[in-house]
Amino acid sequence: MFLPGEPGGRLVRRLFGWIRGHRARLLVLYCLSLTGAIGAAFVLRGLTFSLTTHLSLSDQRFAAVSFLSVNEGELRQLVKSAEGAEEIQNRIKPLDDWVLVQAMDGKPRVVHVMIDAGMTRVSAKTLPLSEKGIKLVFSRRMDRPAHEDPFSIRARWQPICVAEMNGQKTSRVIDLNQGSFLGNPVMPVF
Amino acid sequence: MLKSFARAAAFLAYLAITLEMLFMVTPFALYYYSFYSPLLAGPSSLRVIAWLPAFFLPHLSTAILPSLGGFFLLLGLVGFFLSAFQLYYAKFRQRGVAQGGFYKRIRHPQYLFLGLAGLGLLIVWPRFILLVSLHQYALVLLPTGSKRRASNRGTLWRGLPRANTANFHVFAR
Repeated sequence: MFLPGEPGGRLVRRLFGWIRGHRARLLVLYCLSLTGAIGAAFVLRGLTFSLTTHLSLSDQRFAAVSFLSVNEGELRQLVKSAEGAEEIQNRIKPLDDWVLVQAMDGKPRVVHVMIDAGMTRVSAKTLPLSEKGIKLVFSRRMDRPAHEDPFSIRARWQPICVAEMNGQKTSRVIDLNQGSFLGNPVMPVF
Repeated sequence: MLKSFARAAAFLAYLAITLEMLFMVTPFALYYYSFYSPLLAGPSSLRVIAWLPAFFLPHLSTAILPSLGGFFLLLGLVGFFLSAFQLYYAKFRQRGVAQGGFYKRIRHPQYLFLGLAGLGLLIVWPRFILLVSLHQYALVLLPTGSKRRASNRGTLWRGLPRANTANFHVFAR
């Protein structure tokens, strides 16, 4: 398309030249290109998500996705040890719903997630987190009814707390003010 | 009148969707989200279009893709302003139609670079709704602008041998 000689135009004339009216041809092209772009985006989503370490424990209604270089087993172990901590249990038990855990390294990543979830940059930066170390962001499910796959395209999440890990132990849990998520109702999961 | 209003409204809506990521890191985020949030929450409540506000590329899990997106965004913006400078320099110095530099090879370099910047933005902030918005922008709004500009440029521009310059997409003529 960007090359001299208009190869894009030639291709279109060859493929769709049989459509008589100019407007009709444009309409067909518009619909096909839109469908193609959306279809390709769905394929990309599936492909890239399959390459990202994640797990879903339907019996415990726990889902996790990792932005660390760990495999599924290591992620499972990390989540299990955090979930077992009393501080975490106190926060997630009353929810009685799916919980998403995003595992990441360092405060800047957590700040990024918070901004993406709708917190302002200033509020996210002032969170009392240590600069380094593994952190787990726990989010609750916001879409109703929430019986689908936790990684479904319709799933909606909102962070509730951040756990700082020291090896396999939870060293500190920071609650997040739910009123500070005023913006983005659809945060990226991965 | 109604058509112009609809066009302006559509343009503003697309602009709002496209610049979401830029607004959210500024102090204006709260103001922005106060009107933008319903736009995202609306589709979420309808099952058929609930995928629109979702993301189709990893946004958090890797730093490579967003960096690539940032590169395209920067390249597109730099190219856009350079070609705008070239165009308006020729105009203000009354040198006629710009035919050198980018304009030697590409018929609408500003649109091309704007498209490149849009691609970069799409990689950095890969929402389906942004993809649809940019598709609409690239395939419908740009050719309309291109035709309008062509009709404003007069006989000199229309008389140029355009076979040497590539039009960057099939919808523009």
